[in-house]
Amino acid sequence: MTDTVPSNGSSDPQPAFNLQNPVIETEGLAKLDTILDQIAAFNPVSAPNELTGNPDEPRNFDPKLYLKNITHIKENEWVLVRLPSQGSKLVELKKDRVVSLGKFGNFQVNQILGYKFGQTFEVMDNDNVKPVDGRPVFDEISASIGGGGDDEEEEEEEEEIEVEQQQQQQKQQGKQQANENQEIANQLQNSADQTNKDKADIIEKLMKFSEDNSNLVDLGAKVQTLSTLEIEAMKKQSYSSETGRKIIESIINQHGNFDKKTKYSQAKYLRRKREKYSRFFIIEYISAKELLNYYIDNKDIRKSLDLSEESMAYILNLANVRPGGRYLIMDESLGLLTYCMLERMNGQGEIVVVSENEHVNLTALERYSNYPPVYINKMVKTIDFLQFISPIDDILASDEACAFFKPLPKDEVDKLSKTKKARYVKKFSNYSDLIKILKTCKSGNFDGLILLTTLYIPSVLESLIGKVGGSRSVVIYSQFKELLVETFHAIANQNIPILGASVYETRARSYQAVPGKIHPVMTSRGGGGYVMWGTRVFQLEKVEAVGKGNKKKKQKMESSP
Amino acid sequence: MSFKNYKDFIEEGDLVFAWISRGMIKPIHVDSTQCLNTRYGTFNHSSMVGQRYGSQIASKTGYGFIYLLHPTPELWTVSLPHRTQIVYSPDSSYITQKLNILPGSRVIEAGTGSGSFTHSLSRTISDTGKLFTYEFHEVRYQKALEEFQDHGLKNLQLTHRDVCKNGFEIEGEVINANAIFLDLPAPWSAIPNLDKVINKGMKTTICCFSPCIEQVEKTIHELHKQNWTSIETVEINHRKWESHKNMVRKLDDVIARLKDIQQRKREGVEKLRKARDERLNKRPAEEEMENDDGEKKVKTQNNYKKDVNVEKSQSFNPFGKGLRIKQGDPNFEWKNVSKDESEIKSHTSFLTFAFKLPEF
Repeated sequence: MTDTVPSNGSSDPQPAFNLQNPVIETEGLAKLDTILDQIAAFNPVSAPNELTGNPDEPRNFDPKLYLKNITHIKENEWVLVRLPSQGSKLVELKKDRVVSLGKFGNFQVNQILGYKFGQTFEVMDNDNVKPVDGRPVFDEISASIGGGGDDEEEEEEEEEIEVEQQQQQQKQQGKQQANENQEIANQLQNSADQTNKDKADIIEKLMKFSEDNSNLVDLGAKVQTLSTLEIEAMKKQSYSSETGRKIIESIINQHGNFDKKTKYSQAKYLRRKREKYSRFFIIEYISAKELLNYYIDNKDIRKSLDLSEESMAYILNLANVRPGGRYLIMDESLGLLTYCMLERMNGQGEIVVVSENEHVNLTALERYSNYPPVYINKMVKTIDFLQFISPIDDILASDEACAFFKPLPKDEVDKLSKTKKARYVKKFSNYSDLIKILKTCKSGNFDGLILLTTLYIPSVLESLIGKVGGSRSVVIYSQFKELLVETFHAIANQNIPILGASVYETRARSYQAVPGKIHPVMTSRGGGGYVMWGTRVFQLEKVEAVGKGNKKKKQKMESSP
Repeated sequence: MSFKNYKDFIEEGDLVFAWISRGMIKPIHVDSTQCLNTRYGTFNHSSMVGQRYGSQIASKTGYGFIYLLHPTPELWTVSLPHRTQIVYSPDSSYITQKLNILPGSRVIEAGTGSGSFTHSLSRTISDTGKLFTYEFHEVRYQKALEEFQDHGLKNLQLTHRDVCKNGFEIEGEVINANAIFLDLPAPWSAIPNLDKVINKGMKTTICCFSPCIEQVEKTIHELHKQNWTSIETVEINHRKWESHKNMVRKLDDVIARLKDIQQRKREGVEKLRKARDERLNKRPAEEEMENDDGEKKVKTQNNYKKDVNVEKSQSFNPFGKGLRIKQGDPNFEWKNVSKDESEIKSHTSFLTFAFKLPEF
């Protein structure tokens, strides 16, 4: 008895699945059990870790021991650095290193270790940082001050300044500017003594605002009397956050039209300046949620199949992902799906990832999740389609890891030379890994099927659905609705035992959360994909629906005399 | 009979979700003395015992069937008895994700309402987490209490309380919440009470769920006032797409059909003319009689109708006009298409998120 797909095309097509019972290769499984017994008996290393064969690992591996401490910042871990620009950066905290945040300054790793995640740091001179209360900072960069740019004239003004700045920066590379720079620096030296007076001016300026923008005339770059050269010179003075503050103050002070702006417009202007010149950062723990958003914002979103946060959330709930579950999945999102699932499973249960390649690409998970490899290996099992589909005998006869390997009794292993023994132990562990995952896959009865793939879905469903337990969720994600619609029809036409499959679309629409000015934001990201959700069932061989049955019955009664 | 772990076989006393038709799921407790009556037939509970979860079973008469499904929070959401407006899966899943609710999370939910989100939260936080849920309506509280016990939700504590007036504290319990969900008419009056029950050692997240924009405005004001930061408001737009097949009707066939009709008309006119000529020539007396005799007239009409039907079946009919064609009939060409439901949930509520940083 095999679980491979029968040939199509016969006039009376056989159902592709044993609909009444789960698909199990009984004989093959018995063989695997024998081998597993052998593996246990022949294990070459005394008191090894059940997973790695490494005696240094704890014998009774408990994934819970590897659950992450997510409260404090630790060395050698990847963290997410949130920047004033609302952007973010992934950084590995190597001890004694200095991390550069580009125009936002640098920091020494040692100075941030031990603080709680979510801590805000202010950049000081010489790569030093100071922990500060993050709330005002968060408020400043928070989208609540205004996400949508609906003041057109301001946008233009902003752009002009930016262009000029770039030109100036290029010029500045020339030495002829050296004298001018010196002059400006001198001027600044003098103005620094008048800080208090400046501050008073700014406060006065901030108090004044217009009810509307009727008096606001677009002066272009002239509106700002502070030149870009002056700003650049101030920047050069130091990298500390104090400088950033001073720059912003000067910009406001020398803005010709500031008081003609409305209160909201002023706030928006200030926010933009802060995003540019502030010098602070926030260290965040890279949760699956943060990593997903980082990939959406910073990486090529097509590589994670356009998957939005809301679609991911929907998938996780519909698939009933929870501790102790056993899930069969395809993950073409670089491991983002797997990472999200691992968080929800909390060290209990397992995920089998089937892939079209011999090695599954789970880069995002492996690189940034901070889970040790031993933890990932315990929770996540990978297998390629050939191994998944082939009958057990075929794999045992031809697969690289087991066809040419024969476990040796312990005393024979002990006779091997040191290098030979090491090689043997490695091969043994590959072998036992494969047998174990084969056992898992061939036993089937998975607690859910999640497909995040670019393969033709109906073909994938045909070979995987038999391994899904009764009444468990089947959740399929695609960037394209059409592919799911086609899958819907394939389920009906090919009698794939999935009940109530429908296609869903879920989108989060953001609002500008400013009291008095609440409205949906003007632009947002497109895409986000579509989710199909159904339930694996066991269908009866012959059953008539009520309407159909009665009709036929009636016809029969009418025709018979 | 528990939501917690999947079982493979149905046993006496289990909670089973009987899937009757799309959009109709009936939760039942298996009791061999009972039977389930549906418009698709009668089903003895005793025929369910021993079946695999997910099985299709036929009714007593053999016509009509249902599926026996295992309870899950998501299926519960589409089958539960509504006591209030409920939180649906697109909203609840997004809130869970945004609030970063995971196994081990300590969550506050007010109010409990119909318990839709409660089931989902209880599943996600698992045995290591704890859910504190509050309901101020006495009858709803009682119903929810029975239901949660019945469903084996053990990682939660349901309290009968108006949290706006009396706060969240529970005697003998350190709540230490790190995620808060407020589905209240006036969330702003409950927000000041939260400081006493949140975990001050870590980032605490909140979501306020309100249908009206005026409520959102008041909520934002209060969140600011109570030192919550990074306030965001979103709305979840959700759509269910139904799959259909649309017949591919090509212009070439339209032209061919029109030509066919014209030709038939010409032939028909000639045929009629011929027939009339024959009649006029052969039996002029009978024709006159027909005009006076009603019965005969009807007969003639019937004959004519029959002729048309014969003609229809012989005519070039590429799109099956006038015939009853099922979607996907293999004699025609089809395109797979989709459209949304005729009635959509275009607004559930605004979700206002914020967080509070650990104490500095």
